[in-house]
Amino acid sequence: MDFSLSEDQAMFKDTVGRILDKEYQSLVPNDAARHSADAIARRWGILAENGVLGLPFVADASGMEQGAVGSMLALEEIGRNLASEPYLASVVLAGTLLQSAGETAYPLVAEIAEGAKRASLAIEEDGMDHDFTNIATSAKKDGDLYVLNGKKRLVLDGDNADILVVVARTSGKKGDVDGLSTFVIDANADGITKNSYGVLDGNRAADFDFNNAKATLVGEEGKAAPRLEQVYDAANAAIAAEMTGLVGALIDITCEYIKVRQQFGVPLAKFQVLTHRLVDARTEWELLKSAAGAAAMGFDDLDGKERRVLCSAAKVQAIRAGRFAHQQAIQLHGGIGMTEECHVGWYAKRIILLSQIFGDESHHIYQFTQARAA
Amino acid sequence: MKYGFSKEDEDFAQEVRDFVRENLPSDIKKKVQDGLRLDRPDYVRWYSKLYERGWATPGWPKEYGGPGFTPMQKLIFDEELQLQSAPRIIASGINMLAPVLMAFGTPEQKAEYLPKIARSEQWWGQGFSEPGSGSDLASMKTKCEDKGDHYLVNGHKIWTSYAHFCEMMFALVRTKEGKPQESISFILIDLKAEGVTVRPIKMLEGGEDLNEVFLDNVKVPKANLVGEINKGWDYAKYLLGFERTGIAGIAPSKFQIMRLKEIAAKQTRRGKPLIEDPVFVDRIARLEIDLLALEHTALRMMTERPGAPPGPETSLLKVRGTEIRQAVFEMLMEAGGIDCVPFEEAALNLGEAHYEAQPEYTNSLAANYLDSRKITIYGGANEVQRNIVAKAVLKL
Repeated sequence: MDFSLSEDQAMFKDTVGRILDKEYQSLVPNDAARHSADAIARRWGILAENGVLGLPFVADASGMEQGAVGSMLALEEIGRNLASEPYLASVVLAGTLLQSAGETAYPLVAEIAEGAKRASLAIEEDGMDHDFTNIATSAKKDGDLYVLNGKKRLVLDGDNADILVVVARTSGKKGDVDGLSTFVIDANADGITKNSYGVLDGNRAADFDFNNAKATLVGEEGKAAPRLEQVYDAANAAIAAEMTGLVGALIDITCEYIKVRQQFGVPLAKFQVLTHRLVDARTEWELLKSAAGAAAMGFDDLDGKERRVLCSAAKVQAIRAGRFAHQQAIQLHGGIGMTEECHVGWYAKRIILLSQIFGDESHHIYQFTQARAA
Repeated sequence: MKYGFSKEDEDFAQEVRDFVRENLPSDIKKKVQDGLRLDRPDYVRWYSKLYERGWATPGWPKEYGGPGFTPMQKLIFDEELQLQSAPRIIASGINMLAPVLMAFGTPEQKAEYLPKIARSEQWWGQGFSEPGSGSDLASMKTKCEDKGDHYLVNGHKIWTSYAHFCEMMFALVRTKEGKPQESISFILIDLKAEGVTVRPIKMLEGGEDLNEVFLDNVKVPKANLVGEINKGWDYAKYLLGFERTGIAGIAPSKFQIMRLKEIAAKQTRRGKPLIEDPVFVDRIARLEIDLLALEHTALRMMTERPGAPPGPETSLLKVRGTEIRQAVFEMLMEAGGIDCVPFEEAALNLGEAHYEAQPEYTNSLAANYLDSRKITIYGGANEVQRNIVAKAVLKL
């Protein structure tokens, strides 16, 4: 087991870090420059130029062949800067599911990698409850295309997507593993109604209604289930990676704060209870960093249950570390930690958003147990 | 970034596994598995087998007869032994004194002691802590006066493991007034010398492996000073650095979790085996997830900076590792339920339990839980480890 970075990996991590440090260092958490569509598009172009958007993909899809480890390197820097780049939403979620469809999807993946198109994954539905076999959006073959009907919710970065990658049922009934398929459709196509809204971290997401909207099949019809399990693992490994950056930044910010803030005539850092609290946060961070690394490596090298064990374990660790870090960061900042303008609150909001999507703690403990026992 | 182990390392793991399976006496295995008492003959029986294989001193460099394991091989070796319930190599002589002698001892000292240590013929206790000096070791008071042709030692050491069956003790003694870095020396004391009294301390779970050592005008030959006079504190810090990763207890915790599941399958609650209670299973899974992350962290800290020595953040392995281990022993006792209440000290010796209404595997659960409370205290109390990390890692 080797956690050292190759020269290329170290270089990519450094590149992303430098680009984002430069962009974000002067921005306050609620600065329009973080979240505005124009600003995100501009930064997206810079990341594309530097190969960052292509990190996890194969060379034939304009990728850098770095797999989930590559994504992890970018995501940790994104988390550290509380960056609004929709890397998780677009590169990891949509990109992974498209690439797994096979060579016919590579041109589309390449467009994502090159920054030419923004894609979002439309998978979540009311009542899905982390079980894809509950997906009710239907897809009916009509010539070369498929007619989609149904409602998708919480499409991350859906507001800015050029393309939607949609998961729908082409055959079978609710509860069947067989019969799920994946599609691409232009986000502005006929029959699509979009309802966008703000989410916890200041970014935006969207719900989409499909009303006889015509989409193109990617991947084999009816056989998407294993690819959905895979993208689920990718999501959780990616969340663990971004969380590593978020938690690390919160610890750094809070350490700096308690060195400077004085009460009772001394810096807060003189009080052992507080320094020990930060040491405990650091412990959670060390464990999370390792779990995220193991999950990324496992995603690239393992399959099925073995991969699930690592990715679900990493998500649990991410939720634990994220919870402890944001709660204690607010606590140790005292009253100002509760204000809207304080950085820690914004990190907290991104942390809790990531903790709520793609399965909570008890869901992943269950997944871990099932996968381990198998 | 690479998942999994190399073929060489996997083959080595199998080699160790096979060796243990073929050579570990079954009575010793059972004692370790069930948390029962081991004595010196037990350890010697097992260490002799390791010695024949060249594995009794796994951390020693090749020039001193060690097998020359890579750090990964050492980790694999320790883990495979513990997963099959082979006794850990607890010998302070092998793990702690030997590295100091190798680095700072004279050729005569190395020739005199290292072979006997390797063959488990000579056992050594650690004489560091004193009643007034635990976490604050630098405040220790045991005095060592230069009497010309010998040293005269007076003082009181405590928590010396296994001193009741050790021949010798390596000790920190005060040879001068002043700051610890300039006033403490490292000497070797014969526990059979006149003026030495070893008194076992009865611990709350019934064991007596820890001792007080009273030193009353004990004469120590000049040849027994290790390294330079007044430089003992540096040697102690050097030695304590060797204690760190093993003490996280990752492999033993893995084993105990397996045992927990087996016991939970045999115990019933509300008409069903405890292992079918989703709440209990959830709690076990939380520990397994934490332990898995800890295991990966140990591997990450070992591999992420090739060539660099372990940093101060490795203290966190000890802190979290001991907390997880305690949680596992707590769950083991919980699984034992009311069967843990009958308690006879004799039951901690293999084959001596005689209260039949109590399933055999529950004899030691309460005792092991109580014994586990020490692991967050010894090897550098967890609160002190946190102080170290706060200062050295977080710069607070």
